[in-house]
Amino acid sequence: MNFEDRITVKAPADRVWAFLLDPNCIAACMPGVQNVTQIDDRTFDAAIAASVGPISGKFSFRAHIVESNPPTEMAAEIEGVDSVTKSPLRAHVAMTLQPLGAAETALAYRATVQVKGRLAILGEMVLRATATLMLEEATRRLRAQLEGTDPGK
Amino acid sequence: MQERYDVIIIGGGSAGCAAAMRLSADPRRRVLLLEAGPDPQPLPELVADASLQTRLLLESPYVEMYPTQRQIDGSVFYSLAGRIMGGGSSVNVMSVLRPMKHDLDTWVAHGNPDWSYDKLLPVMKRIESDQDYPDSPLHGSEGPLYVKRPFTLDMPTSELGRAFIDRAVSMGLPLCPDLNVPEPLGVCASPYNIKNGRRQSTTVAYLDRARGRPNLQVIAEAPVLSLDVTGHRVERVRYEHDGQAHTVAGDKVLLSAGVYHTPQILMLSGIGPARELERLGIKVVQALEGVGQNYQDHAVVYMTFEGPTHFQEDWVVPRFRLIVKSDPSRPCGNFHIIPRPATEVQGLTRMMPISLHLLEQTNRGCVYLESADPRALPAVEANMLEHPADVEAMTAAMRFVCDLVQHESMQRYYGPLLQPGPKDDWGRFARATHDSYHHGVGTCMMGPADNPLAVVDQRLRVHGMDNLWVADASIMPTVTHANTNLTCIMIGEVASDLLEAAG
Repeated sequence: MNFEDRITVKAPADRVWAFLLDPNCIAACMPGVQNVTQIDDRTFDAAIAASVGPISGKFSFRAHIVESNPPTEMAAEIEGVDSVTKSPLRAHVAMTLQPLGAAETALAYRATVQVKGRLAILGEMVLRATATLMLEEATRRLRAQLEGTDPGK
Repeated sequence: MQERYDVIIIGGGSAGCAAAMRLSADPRRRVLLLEAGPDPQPLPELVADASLQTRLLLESPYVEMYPTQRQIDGSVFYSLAGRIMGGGSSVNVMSVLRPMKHDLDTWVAHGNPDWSYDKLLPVMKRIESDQDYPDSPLHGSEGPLYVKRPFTLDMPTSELGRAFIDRAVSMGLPLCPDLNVPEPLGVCASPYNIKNGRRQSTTVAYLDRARGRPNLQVIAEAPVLSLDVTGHRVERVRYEHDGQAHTVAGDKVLLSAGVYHTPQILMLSGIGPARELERLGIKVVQALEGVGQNYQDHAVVYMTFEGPTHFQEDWVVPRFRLIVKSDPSRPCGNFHIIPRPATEVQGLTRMMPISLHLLEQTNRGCVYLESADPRALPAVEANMLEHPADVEAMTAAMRFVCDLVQHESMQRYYGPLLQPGPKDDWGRFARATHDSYHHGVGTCMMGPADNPLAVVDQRLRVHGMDNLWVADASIMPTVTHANTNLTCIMIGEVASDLLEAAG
């Protein structure tokens, strides 16, 4: 599954960059995230709970920044397994920042999500809508925090 | 010692188990049933307990996954098949839907006059023991397959279910309490082969009734490698079992390995498109261009709406479905529309999906071999939603679903559309996100010898071969406007008649 979008944030590029580098900030943008544990300055572990009808499960994952070219390009890998089928899920997210004047930044992302194993049977049917809503909510929160009064949060 | 059987059935799936039970009823006929997957006894609860169906798909080792690319962007979904005794009937959702009369009319028009609705109705009746319509002239009451509609349209149902049905009726859709009539349309109660909560696969309904017959030998975990062909006859069947290669001889061979593996076994045996076989380094013994061609499936697209209200639904298997025409000029209903349980993720809007199932495919795909290794899975090229007419039908059905749910009577249950999103082109969305309804058919099409794509004649015998028959989803000239399992059972029943008649 591929996802891409471009949003603008009313904050300077270096501040957006610093925010994206901070695992705590990024984790706070992800809806439903639990048990956030920072491993190092570029890595954190966490989990997300979900239910489809009467079936409930938890997706545990590690997010890790794999490339950074400050302050314009960054790539992160997210790898995890779901608790019901033990299927591995892997996402690669590439982000580019482009300053739009001194106080505004364009953030473009391209995410590729690969599901292996049995969870892939649910594939687009359930996972796509969930992933789309997650990305939308994450960008909404990112905007709210960067455009709010609390610097860096 | 060289064993010899009167009939060797390759594949204990929906058709193969039915044929094995029928053909071994005559104690003089020695029947061997070879199944590639396991034959676990007693059945694991994941298979036997119908309420565990979703977990069976997600967790059991009995589902084979065939990666299949969408043409538009190369993304992948998985075509599925059961790899266990009972085949698809051991892992499916247990819908038990007859082919529509229109489907059988189409097969007749493809040069198969023996497959008319009137000629096949007695076969459809002898399969079933219909709990709801035992006295109907359309239904049977004494067959091996238990059929029941756990929900009937006059029963109380959840608030959401009732609102959905009432809204569909208000849009002019008829109530269709029996989906297994010749031309079902409208709000249909879904029939299932579930008896007291237990799955009635063809293992349970058919094979278990024949186990213990001294003239029936069943060997599971015995994948067939190839057929040894001399002239126009299959002399021996080669299979693996317990890590060793075996051969067995039979007077008649019935290939029921399913839409993916039946063409694979034929090609590995030198029966198939000459150029393909030469590419793979396989000696051509019978050139048949249609082997692996004519593949069709049902495309599924999910639309997802916001769910304003939380409902605790206890179902995964749908109780009813809508059968609709994407265009009133269609000869029969060409979509299943099914409400699905909510997806909930903390911190996100509740998601209420509705699935749209296109019950036909205008263009064709194929199943082919990437190597001559019999252990490699065949490759599937589905090509669904590649024909403009199919994309148009899908987007028309998507508009219908929006009309259905974006009405004041449905506002409590369905909010604004989330997927496809406001920026999405619906045709492109459908082509980039569709999955399979898992009803692949057609890779050994039935038809007269003057049809270059026909692989078997209407008596199911492989063209140019004296003692080789095919009975499974692969023989369907066109995909039925229905879930395909019951049609596969019907094909197995017909095959047993045809092999008996062949002496």
